[in-house]
Amino acid sequence: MEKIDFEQQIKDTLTFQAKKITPSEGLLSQIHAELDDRKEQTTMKWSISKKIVTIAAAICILTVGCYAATQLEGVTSHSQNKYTKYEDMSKAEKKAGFDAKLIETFSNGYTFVIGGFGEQYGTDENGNAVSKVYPQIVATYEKEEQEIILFVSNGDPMVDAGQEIASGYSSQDYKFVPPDYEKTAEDLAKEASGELMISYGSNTVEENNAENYMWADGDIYYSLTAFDAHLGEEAMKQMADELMQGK
Amino acid sequence: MTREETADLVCRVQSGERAAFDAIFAAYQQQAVRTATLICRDQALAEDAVQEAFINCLLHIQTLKNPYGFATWFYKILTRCTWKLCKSNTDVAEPEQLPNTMAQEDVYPSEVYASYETLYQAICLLGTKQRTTIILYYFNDFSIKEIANILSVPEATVKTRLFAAKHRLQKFLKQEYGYKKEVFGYGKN
Repeated sequence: MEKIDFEQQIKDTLTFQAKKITPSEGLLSQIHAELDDRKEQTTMKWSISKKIVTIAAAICILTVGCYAATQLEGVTSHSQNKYTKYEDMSKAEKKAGFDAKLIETFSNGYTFVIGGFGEQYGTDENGNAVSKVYPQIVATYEKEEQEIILFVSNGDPMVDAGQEIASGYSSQDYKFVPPDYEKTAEDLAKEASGELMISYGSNTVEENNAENYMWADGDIYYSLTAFDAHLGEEAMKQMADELMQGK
Repeated sequence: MTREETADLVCRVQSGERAAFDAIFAAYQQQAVRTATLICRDQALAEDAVQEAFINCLLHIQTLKNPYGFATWFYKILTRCTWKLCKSNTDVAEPEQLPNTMAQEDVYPSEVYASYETLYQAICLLGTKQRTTIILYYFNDFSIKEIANILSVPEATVKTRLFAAKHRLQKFLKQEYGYKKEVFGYGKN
């Protein structure tokens, strides 16, 4: 048999296999979308993460003795939202390592627009992670430009810290302000009465209302969060029930 | 695309020109997807890795001091992204059956086709690092020095991996398919 140049054969083999591979269409647009999403995440990281921390802290305050018993200042969440098709959320479940009860469209019209996976962990007053990191599935629903975000995790740092989660509905007005903001007399009065929570760190003054509905399904923890939607407890409970009833 | 053209585009990307990034993407995409697919044996996974690599490339482009070194820098990022995804998807056991979508002019005689498939099966059975080294050397035509840079290992390690990988391939082919040792010669090194 004719002597074959083995090195050339390796080269030809790889070239032969590679010719069968054609990149998928749309990769560049996916990259641009992801880059834009990450830029938004940098703002969202503050907007959502800090707001969620604040909301979680607010929920804790309502539970007597919460802060005395734990070293958690709050819970921080980071996520990568890259799936714009609902059917791709199975990939998010695979990457997160657990299945979540999800829905594409709620009966009140909120429809899935984007989702992904990430993680959540408890933080101290300096924002340092002080608990186990839990994978998290995130799904954003939209209706008439209002968004509701669903967070699903297979663990809760506050539960690990010895506290029961504050299940059910909560609503709170928030004012997110720049570091050099000076509180007005009205701010101080509303803060004192519990009507308002002020949090420092945003670029501009933002006033929001946040509604939250939390519950657990076994070891899976769900949280629906809406900003400025004014849904009310009944509507959010209905959404939670629809999720639990299945896909 | 020449090294000079790439370097020029890199400078323009570093100045904030997004269109220049699109041009780099167009030039590198196909080879990147093919390289990543050959390494991880799963095209869907490979495209995730390529996407992540290009994103990291753009996000960290300012850290590239020498624009002429873009290719090795990019493939360093791509290799890391591919390995990371390979690691988290250990259920990829068998090489993916790639569709036979070759152009008419690329149709090979059946015995040549069979030998390519056989050798490819053997390459897929190599460990990830040996397979990556083989692919970067024989498919991407990187030099030993460039591969050492991409993989962040000494040049001696690259040479060792190449030698060990070729030895394993020959041993596998001999054991599994009865190829005679004397059939395989050694080309330039």
